[in-house]
Amino acid sequence: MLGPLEILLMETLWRRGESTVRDVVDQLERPLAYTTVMTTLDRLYKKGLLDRRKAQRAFYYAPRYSRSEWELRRAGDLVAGFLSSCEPERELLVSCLVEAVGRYDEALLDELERRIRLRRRKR
Amino acid sequence: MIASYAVRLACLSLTVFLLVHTLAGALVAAAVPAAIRAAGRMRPRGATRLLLSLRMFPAAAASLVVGVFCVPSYLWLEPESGAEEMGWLCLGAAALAAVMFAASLLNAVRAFLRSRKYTRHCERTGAPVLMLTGILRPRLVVSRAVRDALSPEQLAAAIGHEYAHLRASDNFKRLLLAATPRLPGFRALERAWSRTSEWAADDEAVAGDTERSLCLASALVRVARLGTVPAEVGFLGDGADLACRIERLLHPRAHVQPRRKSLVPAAALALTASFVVFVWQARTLESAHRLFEHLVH
Repeated sequence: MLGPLEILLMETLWRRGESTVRDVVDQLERPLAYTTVMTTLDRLYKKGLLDRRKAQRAFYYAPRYSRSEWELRRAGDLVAGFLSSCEPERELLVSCLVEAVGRYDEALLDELERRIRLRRRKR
Repeated sequence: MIASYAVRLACLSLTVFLLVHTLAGALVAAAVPAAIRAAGRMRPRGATRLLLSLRMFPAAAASLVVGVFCVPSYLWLEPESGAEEMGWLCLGAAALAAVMFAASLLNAVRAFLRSRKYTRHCERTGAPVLMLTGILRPRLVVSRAVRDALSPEQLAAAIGHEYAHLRASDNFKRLLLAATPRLPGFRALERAWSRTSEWAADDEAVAGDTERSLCLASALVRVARLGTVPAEVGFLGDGADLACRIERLLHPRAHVQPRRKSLVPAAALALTASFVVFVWQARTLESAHRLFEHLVH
């Protein structure tokens, strides 16, 4: 879950694209200390939500996901949080197309997709 | 302990239920590995019936013995002569059975409430799900993310899968599983039933159509991919189950066994008829009553 300041900075980066800490500070409507913004961006980077590169002695931050991708991930996280606090889907009285959406190994999904494409070509 | 006519009947019924259920449960638990292997060789819909019947057998057998032996023999042959002494063993077994019933009921209520909460949670957060929810008034929940991710053909195949669950009343069966007492080994049976019911729904959704099979396989992978988070954030889904479903959809014929004429319904009918004839003999009920008297005292 993100705090209000983290969401504010994410919004800024989605709007502006890749930016330095100074760029972000200048874009904000309410005045915030440079160090506060720098610490928060660093925290977002460590949470895996931002990419970072160093150029001309400054860090450039960019969102790793688009806004819609992030919202989808957040919804998935909320459901995962719900499920980890109770039982897996098979213990619930619901029939899901796929159990544990978003919790599969990416490499496995790539391999399965490759097999489907191969099968489609063989037809 | 001195107990009245009605209390003795209640305790006796609970004790007999516990005894028969435990005995039948032990038999079922011993047969679970073989049953799961046999189910793997059957058509999925037949396999789900076998696994569910096996899971419900202890509770059904115990209810049958209580309903046709215990209660009638007690009502017909036990004189209503006021209070009588009851053994502590019978009382203890009855209390244990009552706890078992209460735990099962609680489990079912909990599963029902959790499911409702889970559905609302998914709807509120827009979580990427496609699911059939509800028992008396089932409804299909398709999130916007899933609708956007799937092509019309993939969506049709995925919805066909959920309709197959609807036709098979799988959510009601899940409630039955939650509401009947569990013994060791039953979890494996339930997992096997759950996996096989997915296979059955897949088969019914594609109905032997290769194109539809491929569409459903693609839909499964696309939906599984939605909302992906790094592995360290949460638990991983069972990739083996998903891979197995995809494999079945890509090579449907390899899994189809020739249908054989089943003798199970005829055998079950004959057994039930013989059982009823046997039970309704006065001598049988008298013997049962003598046995139950030993249990009570």
